[in-house]
Amino acid sequence: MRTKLKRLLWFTLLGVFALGSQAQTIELTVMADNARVPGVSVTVQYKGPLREAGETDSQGQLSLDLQGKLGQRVAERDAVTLSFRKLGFDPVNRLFTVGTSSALAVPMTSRSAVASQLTQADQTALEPLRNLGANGPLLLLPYELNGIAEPDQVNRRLRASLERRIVTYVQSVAGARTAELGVRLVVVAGSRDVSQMQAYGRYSNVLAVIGGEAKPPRGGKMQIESKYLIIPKLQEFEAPVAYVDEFVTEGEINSAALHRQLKRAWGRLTVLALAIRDINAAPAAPGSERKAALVKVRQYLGAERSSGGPNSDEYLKEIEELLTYLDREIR
Amino acid sequence: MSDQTLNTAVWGPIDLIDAVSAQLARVGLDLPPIWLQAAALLVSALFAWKLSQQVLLKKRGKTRPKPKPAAIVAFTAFVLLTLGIGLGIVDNALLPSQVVGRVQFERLNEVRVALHGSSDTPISVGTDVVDSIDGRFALHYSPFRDGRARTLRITVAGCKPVDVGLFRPQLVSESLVERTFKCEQS
Repeated sequence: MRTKLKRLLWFTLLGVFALGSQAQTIELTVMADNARVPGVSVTVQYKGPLREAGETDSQGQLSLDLQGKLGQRVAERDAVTLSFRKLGFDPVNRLFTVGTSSALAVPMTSRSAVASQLTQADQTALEPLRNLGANGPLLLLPYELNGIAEPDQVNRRLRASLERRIVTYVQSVAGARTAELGVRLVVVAGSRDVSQMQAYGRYSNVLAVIGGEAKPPRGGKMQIESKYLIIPKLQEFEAPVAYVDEFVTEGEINSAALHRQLKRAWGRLTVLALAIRDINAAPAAPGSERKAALVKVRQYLGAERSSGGPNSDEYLKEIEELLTYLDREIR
Repeated sequence: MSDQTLNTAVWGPIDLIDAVSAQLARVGLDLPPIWLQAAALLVSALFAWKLSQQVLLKKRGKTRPKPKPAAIVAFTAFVLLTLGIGLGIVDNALLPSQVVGRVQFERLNEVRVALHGSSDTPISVGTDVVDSIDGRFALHYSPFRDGRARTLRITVAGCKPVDVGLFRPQLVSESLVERTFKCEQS
């Protein structure tokens, strides 16, 4: 009996020791413009001074042993702050909670690559959007409204209606997060061609960029031609440059019910953009956490695919493609 | 009612000692609250023990004279005070040493956060930055040594600092402290 008790005690002690000595390692991956970033200097801080953690390798990766670098064990659910610095990139600080995951993807923004495509005035105008959080809002560039009375008011009206159309649509898709959604109207001086719009979107770190023009009414109807660019990128999936054409009567443009006239495509494209964002935000390391995050995305994309109604086949091919990719990853 | 008023309305022996500690810090005697708490506990326990001899103990072979009502009241008060201080110290020691929160602001890289104690001096150790993507932060301190955190101070260069009151239940439950920072020119 006494021997058994002794054994039990030893096993308990060994178990406690094994738990205590479990490695606390984070796999860091630094990305910018859909490419890995090597040579990023990483520092880590917990309840003491800042510690050098090393630099990312040629694959933009760094395996960080927290206990080894900090000289102390980080308590479960406690958070450490990781700082990422590289010349020519905006500095990034990330909070990592121990016990939640073992991998962390860090998005960095190259200052030179994107900023060189924008004027100083446009950079200043877009600055407030940059840190709004994980590609939340959509950026609306004012529509070119040649020959249309009170263009500023029409742009404000369009912004409000687009926001209402998009947010209400996404809210109706079960499981899709809408907390950060919103359409921000920012006046920029540059052109509205696709590459310039991409630069605006990448610089401001938004979910999508909307821009276009409206032609003066003919036969009582105004034609609004819009471009919708999804900004988050996925290596395995090419997001479409979407064109959405609307015809609205002059009276409707100032009507509070304008959002009802707007096409379903606005909502569907935003669901697609959210899915790309959420796939990118899923833990990079294969495992149950990544799988759980991808299953959530699959659920709301699946719900979007099966939602019927008129014009429901628009961008369905892209949704199917993304679902196929998710199914491959999940199984 | 402001955060500060609510905070100060909940006086306990520990809060009272913290207030004394804050006043001492103002005149240059900046001691960690635990020293003052320990001293107060010792003095209070000594008084309680001294009074207990009049109120409780019987001398061998003698009948104890009936204790004076004032001695009973004083004894009860000191016992309660000793218990209060002792429980307060234990309670502080058991508080989580991490405060987590989230700041919303358009330039998150410029945001700095710190925990302040009763004497309005920073008590958080380590990092003072927030997550550049979502504004989350985790600040660490020693509630046993420095007492509980009273305020979260959010600063951005060129803007007036913003203080967010912290309450004991919030610290105990480790709930997320959220604040949208609005820059008022300093």
